[in-house]
Formats: sequence, structure tokens, C-alpha cells
Amino acid sequence: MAKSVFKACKNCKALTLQEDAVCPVCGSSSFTDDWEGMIIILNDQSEIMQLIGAKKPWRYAINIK
Amino acid sequence: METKIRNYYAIKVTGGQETNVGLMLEERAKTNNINEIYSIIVPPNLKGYVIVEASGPHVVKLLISGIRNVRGVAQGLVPKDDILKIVSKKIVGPSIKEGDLVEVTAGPFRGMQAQVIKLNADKEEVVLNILESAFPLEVTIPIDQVKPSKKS
Repeated sequence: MAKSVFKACKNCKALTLQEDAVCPVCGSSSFTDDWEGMIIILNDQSEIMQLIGAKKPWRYAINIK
Repeated sequence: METKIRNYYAIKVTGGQETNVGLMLEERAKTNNINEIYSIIVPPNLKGYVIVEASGPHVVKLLISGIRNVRGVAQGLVPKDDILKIVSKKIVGPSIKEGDLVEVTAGPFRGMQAQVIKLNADKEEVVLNILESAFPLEVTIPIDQVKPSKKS
């Protein structure tokens, strides 16, 4: 399953690989495996990026538990 | 500068492969330097579709051509209001307050009336007192499994 590949940062919802120790977006170290939905921001002119308040193009989870 | 056109296209994909297709589309957009794709949304609770934010249909066609598990682009555009609903789920939260009467919509207590004792917005959970029980019964359930009951 794709879900086991990524974990979501509890602080900024960024998705990162399981082996990463700190979040590459915000530097936090608390993660959860219980997330659903994915937003992949490819361009910093994205409308969605402003809507979700993301700081840089990255993969983000929509909901985290 | 470029024009500020943002359209949302729904791409039909094989059920269960939404995340994989999203990641493959991301790879293709990056390797082929397709700058007019702004974001890719894999919605939860929407099986068989991936939404792409792009400037026009020609870019989407270019992006999806030849990718496995993609079944084509759905007719028409996805309205921005629908995107807002998918992206920010929290809108449903504030409609329930402590002390409100609610109805449970899922789980073993489905269909029962209950009163909200405590609202935990961070965890998206509510502590309920089930009114139809013969003795005081407190349960904690996710906020999306309750709906406000009609006031008499």
C-alpha cells in the first residue's frame, strides 16, 4: 500500500518518507501514519497552495488523525 | 507574466489506484517540465478520481497520455466550491456545540439521539451522552459520525 511509504507531519501535514527523522518542511519530528487524501503542489503559483496555507511546493496530506 | 487561469479537471482512474496515479502524474510533470500543472489532488472518500489544477485541457491530456490506470478526463470542470469542500474538511466542525442534541450516524449507536458533553476539535472527536440508554452512557466518537438532530 502506498500509505506505508509515507508518513504525515502532525504540525504541517507534509508527507515524507518513513525513514526521515525530521519534517523537511517545518523541521518537526512528530509524525503519524494515520492520514488520508493527498495534495501534490507542483508550482508555487498554485491556488491550492494558498488555500491550504502551504509554504512550499510539496506533498501534503488532506486529513490527519 | 502568464495568465491567471486555474481550472480543475477530474481524471478518471482505476479504483484504488488514486494515490499511485497521483504520484506518477507528479513524476511526469516534473521530468517533462510541464509548468502549467499547478497541483494534483487525491481526494479522500472519492473513489476513482484524481483532480488536477491546470491552465487548460491540452496540458491535462499531455500529462495523462500513456499513464497506466488512467481512464481519461471527465467531461467538464470541477467547480472551485467542491475543491474547497474537499481540501478543508473542518467546515463541518463548528456547527456542533457543547450541549447540542445530535444524532449518531455510524457505529453501534447509529440512529440514537445523544447530547454533546465535550467537543475535542484537535482530535475531531466528540464525547456524547447517549440519551436512549437506560443508564448514563458516555462514548467518544469521531465528529464526522454525528449530525445535528432537528430541533422540535
